[in-house]
Amino acid sequence: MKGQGILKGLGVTLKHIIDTYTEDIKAGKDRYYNEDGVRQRMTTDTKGIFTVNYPEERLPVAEAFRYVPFLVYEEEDGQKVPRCTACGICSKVCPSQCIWITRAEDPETGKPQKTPAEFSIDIDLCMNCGYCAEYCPFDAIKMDHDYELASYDRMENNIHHIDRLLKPASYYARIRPINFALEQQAKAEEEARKAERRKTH
Amino acid sequence: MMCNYFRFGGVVRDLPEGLEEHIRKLVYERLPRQVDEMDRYLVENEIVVSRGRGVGVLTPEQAIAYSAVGPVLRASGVPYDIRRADPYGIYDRFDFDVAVRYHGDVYDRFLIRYDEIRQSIRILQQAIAGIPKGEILANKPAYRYKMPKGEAYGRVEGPKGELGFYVVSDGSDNPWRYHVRAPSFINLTGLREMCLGEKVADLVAILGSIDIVLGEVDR
Repeated sequence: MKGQGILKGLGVTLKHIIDTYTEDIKAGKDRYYNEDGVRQRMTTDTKGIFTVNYPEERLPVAEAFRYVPFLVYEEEDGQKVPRCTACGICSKVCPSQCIWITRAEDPETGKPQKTPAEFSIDIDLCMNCGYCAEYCPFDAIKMDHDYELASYDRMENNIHHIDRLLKPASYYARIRPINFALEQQAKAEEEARKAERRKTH
Repeated sequence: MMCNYFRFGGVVRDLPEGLEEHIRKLVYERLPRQVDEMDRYLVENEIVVSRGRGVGVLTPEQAIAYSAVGPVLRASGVPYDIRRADPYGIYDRFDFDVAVRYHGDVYDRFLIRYDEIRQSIRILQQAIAGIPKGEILANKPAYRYKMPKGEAYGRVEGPKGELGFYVVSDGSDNPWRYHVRAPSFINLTGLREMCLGEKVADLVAILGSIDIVLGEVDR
């Protein structure tokens, strides 16, 4: 019979519509525009609708997700102290050469200091490879999770300078809890080993 | 995406917690179920059948002459898959069939993708059962490797066909020449033969059935 194949196909669509409504009733509460609902629709046994209404809902990103680097700073007496020592390893390993660093100088003696005066990343050149975060010996540069960076002015908004790049260590701990815990553990071990060595000498 | 995940001597980081269980559920439950559903929705759909059957035929001889690869070649009746013809990686350990269809028309090129999805799920089911424990990166990570002088060609069976990389080194740390054999670009060269004698309206269906990636076509 002509049209049978199309009717069969439409039946599949109809089943999805009905499934969506029965799932809504079964869930009992509103399962849209909240995190639980998005997670429920991501599971392997989800039925009915499984799309995400993007600007209102967002898929949770994995911890290892990386998008544009940022600099980590520690809060000390209300002062922002960047972990960065301006060693320049990140700008050397960067395959697209999008990192520029200027080392700070002591205003009186003119000696170079272990802190950056300027730090700029051109995010249009950055290809999010994550090498800078991987090879940084001080855990000072990390990859961000914020992927909504569209703007109208490239020169104004797509070159991130140090004031925009600096983000607190607490932010880093929030977006990458497992990595942060591992790093803290490694740091504590290193400290303990140093203390041990000082005692023996 | 797996961008920058593979390294010389391993991978950059371990799998996240709980991913193995998630993949297991995907390959045993969700994917087979969804593929079967798409099957019900499209394979016998009269519009797909009438627009696809007998349209844009590429004979096996033409497919070989145009160096077509992947699903385009296999839909024309040539059972050639690099995973079977020249096994690389661990593909010799997996039990899978090389999908092949014999008409070489748009409809067969559409069907062969279903066959290949099913075979891929089979491979995934075997792969997830045998992930070994151990070190994730065997050697010290480095962002720059000293390469000896010489040239090399490596190829894999990508979703569109044979994906090859030809590298010539002059001994420095960057390649002296680097060429990608992109399957989409080479499959596209057969478009003329497929289109001869067809209606203009069928061009879209034929072009769609080759399944090109424009990033690969731009050489």
